[in-house]
Amino acid sequence: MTGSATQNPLLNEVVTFIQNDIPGFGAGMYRLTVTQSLTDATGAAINDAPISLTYDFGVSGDRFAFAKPDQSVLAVFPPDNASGGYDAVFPHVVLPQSNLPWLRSPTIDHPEPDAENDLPSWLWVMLLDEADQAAHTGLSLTPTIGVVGDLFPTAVYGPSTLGTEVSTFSQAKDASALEPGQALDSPIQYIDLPLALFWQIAPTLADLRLMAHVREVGFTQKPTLPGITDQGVPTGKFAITFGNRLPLDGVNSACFLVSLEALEDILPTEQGLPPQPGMDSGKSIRLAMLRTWRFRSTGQPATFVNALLALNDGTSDGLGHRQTALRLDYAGTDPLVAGALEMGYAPLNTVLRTGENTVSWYRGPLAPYAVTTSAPPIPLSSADAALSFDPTSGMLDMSYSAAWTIGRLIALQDQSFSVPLYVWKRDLHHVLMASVSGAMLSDRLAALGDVVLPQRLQSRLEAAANPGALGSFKAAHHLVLNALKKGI
Amino acid sequence: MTRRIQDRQGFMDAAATALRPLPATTALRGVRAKVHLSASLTVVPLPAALQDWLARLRLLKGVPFGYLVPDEAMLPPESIRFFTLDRAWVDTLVDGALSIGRTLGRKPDLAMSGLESGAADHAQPLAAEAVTRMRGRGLGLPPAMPPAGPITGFLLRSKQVSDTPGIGVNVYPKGHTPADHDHDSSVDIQLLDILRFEALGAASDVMICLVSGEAWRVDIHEPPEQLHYGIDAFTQAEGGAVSAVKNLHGFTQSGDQVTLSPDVTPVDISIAFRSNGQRVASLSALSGILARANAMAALDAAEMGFAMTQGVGMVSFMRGDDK
Repeated sequence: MTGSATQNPLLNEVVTFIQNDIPGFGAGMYRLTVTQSLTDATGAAINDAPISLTYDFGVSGDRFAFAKPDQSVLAVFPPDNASGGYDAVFPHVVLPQSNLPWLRSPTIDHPEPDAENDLPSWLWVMLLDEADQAAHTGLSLTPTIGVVGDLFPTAVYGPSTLGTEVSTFSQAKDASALEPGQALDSPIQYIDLPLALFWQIAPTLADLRLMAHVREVGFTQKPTLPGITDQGVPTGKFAITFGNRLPLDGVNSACFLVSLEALEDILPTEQGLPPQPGMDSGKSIRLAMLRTWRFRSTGQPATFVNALLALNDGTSDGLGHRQTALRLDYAGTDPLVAGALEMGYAPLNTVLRTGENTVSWYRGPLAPYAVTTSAPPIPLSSADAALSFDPTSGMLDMSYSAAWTIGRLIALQDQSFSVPLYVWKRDLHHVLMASVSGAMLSDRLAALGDVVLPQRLQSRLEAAANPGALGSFKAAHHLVLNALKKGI
Repeated sequence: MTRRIQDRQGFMDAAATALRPLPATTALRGVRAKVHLSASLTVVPLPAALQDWLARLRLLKGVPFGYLVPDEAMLPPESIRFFTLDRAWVDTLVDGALSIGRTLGRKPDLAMSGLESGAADHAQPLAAEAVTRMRGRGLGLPPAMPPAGPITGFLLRSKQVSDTPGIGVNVYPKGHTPADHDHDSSVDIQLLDILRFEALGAASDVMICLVSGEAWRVDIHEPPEQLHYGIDAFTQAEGGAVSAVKNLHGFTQSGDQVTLSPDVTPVDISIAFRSNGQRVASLSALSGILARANAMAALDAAEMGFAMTQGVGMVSFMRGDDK
């Protein structure tokens, strides 16, 4: 391949930014009605009542909590429990399900989605910190564990703790808003915060249209992420949803991925004021929370590049070169030990079969240089056949012996390998034996060549004489039996 | 009954004789035995599922970490270690896996050891070849190039492995790095195919990468889907007055392709922040400012996405000259 670096698609990784990824069906309940009316040539109806069938189905999607918390979020930024200079970044969440931010809506009505226009995301990365806690007594940075019913008024769910708080369902008259698979007593996590604070920091509906997008990236240079980059396609889409508030230096911050579903009437104005003057700012709002993490902005740079440049710190030699080979450092002067460690060997305690304790060398498959010694003579009959003894040091090299043993143990542990391997070896054995014995029989029966045999037997004899003709043992067997019967 | 057993023993002995390493006088029978064995192997070759299993083993999947790194001091926290895969070690590992059911003891059955030897000679190269297919299958890509030399790679132990799960890596062979291309534009840039690249376990901070060929330069870069939104300066005075700057890359749009200019223009985005002192940006106001800076009417979510994204961080590791 020729071309400059900037034209080579392999090298200049392309990332496609996409406005949104609208699901074919948003989550919710659907009813499909099929009717058929029959008309004759003049257009008059033939059937009296319309023939009609109705099907109900639901499209499910994560709503109050992730069904698979480990797989639903690829990464968060700033990283969980990180500390570093994060005072000029907006926190974000990377979601492997690329249509999740548009599966539901912060609006109450759901107009037909238009892919050309920005759609508001129902997910919001909310940032709270210790300074907010100081300003608002009772504010907790730890979400409360509750049930879905706690988002509903007591009229719908008796044990609800909602009280007078505002939530997605605070005006609900019944539980009909729940979708299949969602129950009032399903466990969720939620967070309560004063409306006064919510209005100061929450985005407007217009902001939410710009707070999530999709990035399509290539997977060829990426690690294998189970369920994401091993699906048989070389590219994939991720949804990125991010916050609108910068972290404060010097305090602990907590981020929450919260649901703003159907809360458009509560969202503030562009300047962070109540949507309608006179709304009761003494109330709180309760938001279902799908993910939380914490970090601390300290003003020290903590970027990816900083972290990688700091790798191997403290392992530099006298010349300032950093150690990058997989081997142990040695401060002693013994040339034997120094040489072995340089070659990647590690001394390990060994208990010999005779009960003595000694030290042996071991090196794994990841050598610090290109090893050119050849493997022990394969196939080995036992692990000890791969031991090598160094008479100068009186030490054993256990490396290949250990390799053989662990290979054997891994194979034994996995029945999906050990059983088919046994079957294959057995089949090979049978086929080989049939081939050899068939050839031997045909050799010995060659003297019978001038005996006129029935045509069927003759053809089998020819087949048996060919070592490649398998199953010839059986043919030869029949041949002999028949020959004996006829008294040859 | 006795007769049958004897007959069977006779076949076995004959097969044993035929399969044993033969002196020159019986070379003809040895050739015949090999014909029988290779004919049998064409009828019952190693099943594809077993080839794949052995290929995964050759990529060290399932090998306990202690066997890869016998001493933690070899791979301390926040370190990267480069290595060359010891092919003899891997061959021995695979032979161990193939050894189950093998007749062991002081007097091995000669026929069986001949069979084992033939089976191992058959299975080892098939497994080595299947190694190139494993990663491409998950990505829907053709098999990797077979390694010209040894398989090399690195172990990375860092908090970045768990914090940045989609971390990218480009590995170049000697003489075909982007720097070589810049030096002499007739040199093409080559990437070594990745054979295995994954974290060793969920939420692990250790990652292994094996590439087909001899690595000379390894570039590790931030994954584009995890690039964060950032601004370049933010200060807030006592009274809540905000001063914020975003160094904006200009961009030009032609059709679906957008090209970012390498030059940056500092854009004052202070007024995009709410005046309540809570460090909250109005994204719609921000998009208006960024659109005006690029002489566009408005930015949609995607354009906003790349306008706000900070650049990709990348670190290159170059191999020094061999001693």
